[in-house]
Amino acid sequence: MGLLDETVSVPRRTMTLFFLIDTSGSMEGNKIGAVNDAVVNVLPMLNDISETNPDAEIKVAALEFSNGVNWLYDEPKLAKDFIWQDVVASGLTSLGAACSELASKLSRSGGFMQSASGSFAPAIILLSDGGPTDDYNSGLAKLKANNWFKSAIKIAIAIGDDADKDVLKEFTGSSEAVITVHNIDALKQIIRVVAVTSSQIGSKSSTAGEITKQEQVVKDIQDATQNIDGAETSDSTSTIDSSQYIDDWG
Amino acid sequence: MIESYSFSCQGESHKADNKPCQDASFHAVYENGLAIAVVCDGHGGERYFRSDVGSRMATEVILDTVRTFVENIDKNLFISKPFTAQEAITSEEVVKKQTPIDVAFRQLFSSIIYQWNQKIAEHAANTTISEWEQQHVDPKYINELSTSETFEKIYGCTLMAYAQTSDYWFAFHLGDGKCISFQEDPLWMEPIPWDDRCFLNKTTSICDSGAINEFRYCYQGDGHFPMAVFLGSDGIDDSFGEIENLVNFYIQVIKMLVNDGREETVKSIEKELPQLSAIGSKDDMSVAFIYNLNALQTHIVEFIQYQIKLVTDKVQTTDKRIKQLTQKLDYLEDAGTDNEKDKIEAAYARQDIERANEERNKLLFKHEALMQQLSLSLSKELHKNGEAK
Amino acid sequence: MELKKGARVNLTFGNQATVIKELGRGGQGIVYLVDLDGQRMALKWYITPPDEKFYKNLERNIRQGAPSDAFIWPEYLTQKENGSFGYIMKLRPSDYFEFGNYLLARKNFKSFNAMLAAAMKICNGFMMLHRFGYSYQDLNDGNFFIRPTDGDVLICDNDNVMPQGEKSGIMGKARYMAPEIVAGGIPDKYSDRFSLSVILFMLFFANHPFEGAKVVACPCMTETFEKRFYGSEAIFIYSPSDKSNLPVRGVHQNVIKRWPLFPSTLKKTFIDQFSEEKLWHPNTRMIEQEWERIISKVRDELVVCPHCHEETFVDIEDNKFKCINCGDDIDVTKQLKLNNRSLILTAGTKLYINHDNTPDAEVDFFPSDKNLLVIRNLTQSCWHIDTPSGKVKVVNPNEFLPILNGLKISFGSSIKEAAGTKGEVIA
Repeated sequence: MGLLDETVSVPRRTMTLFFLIDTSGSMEGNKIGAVNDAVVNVLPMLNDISETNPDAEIKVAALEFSNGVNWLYDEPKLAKDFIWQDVVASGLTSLGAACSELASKLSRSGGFMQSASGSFAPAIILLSDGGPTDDYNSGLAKLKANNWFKSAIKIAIAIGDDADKDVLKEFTGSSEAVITVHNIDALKQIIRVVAVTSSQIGSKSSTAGEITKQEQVVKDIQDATQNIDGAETSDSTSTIDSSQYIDDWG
Repeated sequence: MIESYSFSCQGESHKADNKPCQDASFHAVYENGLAIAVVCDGHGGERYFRSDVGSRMATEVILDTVRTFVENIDKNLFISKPFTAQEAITSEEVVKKQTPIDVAFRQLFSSIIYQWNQKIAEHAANTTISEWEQQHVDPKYINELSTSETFEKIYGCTLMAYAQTSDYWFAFHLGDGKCISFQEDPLWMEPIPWDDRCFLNKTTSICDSGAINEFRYCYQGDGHFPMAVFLGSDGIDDSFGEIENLVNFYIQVIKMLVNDGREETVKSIEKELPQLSAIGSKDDMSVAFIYNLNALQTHIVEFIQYQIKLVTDKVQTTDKRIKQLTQKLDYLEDAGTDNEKDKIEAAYARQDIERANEERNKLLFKHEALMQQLSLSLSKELHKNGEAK
Repeated sequence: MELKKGARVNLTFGNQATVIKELGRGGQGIVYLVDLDGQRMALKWYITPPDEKFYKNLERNIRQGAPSDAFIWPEYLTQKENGSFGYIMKLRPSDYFEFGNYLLARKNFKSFNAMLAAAMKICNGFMMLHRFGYSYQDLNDGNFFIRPTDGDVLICDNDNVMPQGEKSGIMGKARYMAPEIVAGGIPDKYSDRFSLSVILFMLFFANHPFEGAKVVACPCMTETFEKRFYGSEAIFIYSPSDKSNLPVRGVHQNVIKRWPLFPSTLKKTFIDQFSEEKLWHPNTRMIEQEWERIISKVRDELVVCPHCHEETFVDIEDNKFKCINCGDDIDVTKQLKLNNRSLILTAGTKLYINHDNTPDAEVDFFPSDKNLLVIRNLTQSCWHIDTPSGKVKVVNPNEFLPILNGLKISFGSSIKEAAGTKGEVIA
């Protein structure tokens, strides 16, 4: 009898990649088409990363939000098993509800996460082309208090100039983690870059080094963004005369 | 009889660039009845390039200070005190006054930090940069050695210790890794409170500026002692995921100690921990434990029964899942729609049922093996009782 | 003997108090919530009754009344019954926290302003106590309750307060005792003054002035060690002449972080008060009024940074004017001169003209011009201003004057205990 005989299980470590996709009416047409196309194409790449990575396997979960919120499947699936179903755009942008829903699943009890021992921090990719139409503050506050969210790699993709970048910046915690895309081709390329980069870095055994996984991912994505036309990383950026009053005290 | 053991090995991921094992562990049982086990885990990451030295020094300091503490403290402070656990100090949380034991522990922990500071300062001053360091470490981190304000980081590590005397026992912990104690009821527990600041790859550390407030501890002086206490670095618990799996592993160690003896167990641990690192966390592995062999022998049947219950529970959970999936599949097939989503869901359900059945078979196999062990242990016990009569 | 819920205790003046529940217990006794004629009060009940002298002393203290509103003073005495006795005092409001919580950083002052207010209030309390002829005897971190928002202080456990020269028989904690008391002497106002310096140091730096490397070198504190570290071999952690007891990284982090932030005035005073000279010559220790003056001086150096809008200290003595938060230079050219004091005028800074904890003025922006600073009158009375060209202006309560060079302010009767104070604006 060895110590690691049949009665002892050594499960593989896991990292979960979350897609949060805005499927409001304004996404209709080629935007949502590009998202569907890009995700379908990136899934096999994620599977490659997962299978060749000795440190952890990658699971995928996707949440769409418009009038309400909806998980594509009710549990994270292995990248190789994940069958993408095209999402359809219509309705409002319930980002607050999406945040609340994500927060409830970023937990062990009734959620998608397992014991912190043996888990890697999740990676969360948020795509949106507008601003929230619900009370996103309370949802986001709930999310920001969540330990898994705090540790997560968080990247937001702003589609076009109507996207509320301040909200996306609040979600990711920094303006550097918000990537703006201006055309369909750039959108597709960026989804691929962001999903692949965060999966690669997120599923590696990290050493408690100086630079966090988030910083590493942001840096790599910024480098890649420079070579993609129509994509950019966000960058962040007054009296009545009182002379008569002063004269009076002279 | 109280016995002790400890072992550390290099993690799978450290082999590639020949990084040393950054864990350190220690164990001893002294004539005055003091038994002590220590595990320290040096941080990975380039910046912490001398954490192997830091963790080794932390074990030395803990041994020294705990011995002095036990020799000088008035044991009446502990006598008759029930099991008591104290969490790390975080702000904005008003608590009751510190008891004399709390004050005594704070003094011990302060002294551990101070003496560790002294040792690493001496090491930093007297050790030239090695060839390995020159090749593998960014000069900006090497330069930190001479900037007195942050050089401690270079040696940063976690620490965990268990000590027992003939009158009382205590344990303390700063950082991640897990401490599991085994006693009659409950059969196992984590006696030292967890610190939520340790989450995923983040951990508190002796090199933190507020290290003194990051110690958590527990003690007991009412005559009850654990049958065994295991300290493991995070390389071990990260390999097992859910804590039940970790506990199950330690029960394997306990069973082996009882059935095959210490020598065989030690051989097995030293052979299999590196393997565990390779299939599990890839991290350095350390384990240290103190055990009372007589108590373990007396209770061995309960350990096997616990494992059986664990497997039985898992079988039930799997059965439930299979039932739910089957219902879902039936529903989807009955509906017979052309809906793409339904088809995908049905395919998933079939696949999941198949996987669950595989899992179920494995569990049944485990169950069978454990039942055999149980009957063997029971017959041994009967035999022994017969002899005694 | 302990009291049960519903038990009635007879007070010396005839009334009865009814026990509602236990609030807490310490070494000497139990504190109960009681009802006294429909009012909620606290009863401290001794588990084993101290001697007759103690009882008489309590009786006398109650008759004399509290030295100031900082004290939760014994108000009524119980008769000797149920094998013991106790006394009634006011309840402590729930937004005050024991000093120990601040030392472990479980509670933090909302601002330096609140911290300085607490220091001022403690000094004033002890000044009044000594003026009444008492000595405190058992000063320690358990006696003080502080409100984090404004630094208001309540001093409790006043049953050990004795007239000067008498000994209560209750031994204090060695950490707070003057070296001569650790060595066996009788507490008096000089040893109280030492304890006051210790308490103030701990208030500002959340660390004991003698607890550095030497104290944490030993893993187990014994009585012998204690007598050495707090008595015969006490060394101030920042002693300029002896570096053997410096604070330790990872342990004494509060003081390591805070010591560099405070102005030299304060640091020099502590270095002086904890010097060997003052440790061993009790009658050379600083009196409370002098401490008040020092704290006031430190408060004059507390300003709001015009760049990051956080509180910061400027160091007038050392000519250091960088913000402790953002590191930017603070403009100190605008000042209010008051006798030998110079109050720095930056937007948001509160001005304290006397030693109480109520700000008398505040620097603000002119409502419609962010380039013009004004001083707002926060007192209850009007000020008179002489302008350089000879005009006289009146600034009523809550009105303001611009910060312009040469304006002379007569504060009139607006400043309590400092009537007739005059100041001049330099800009």
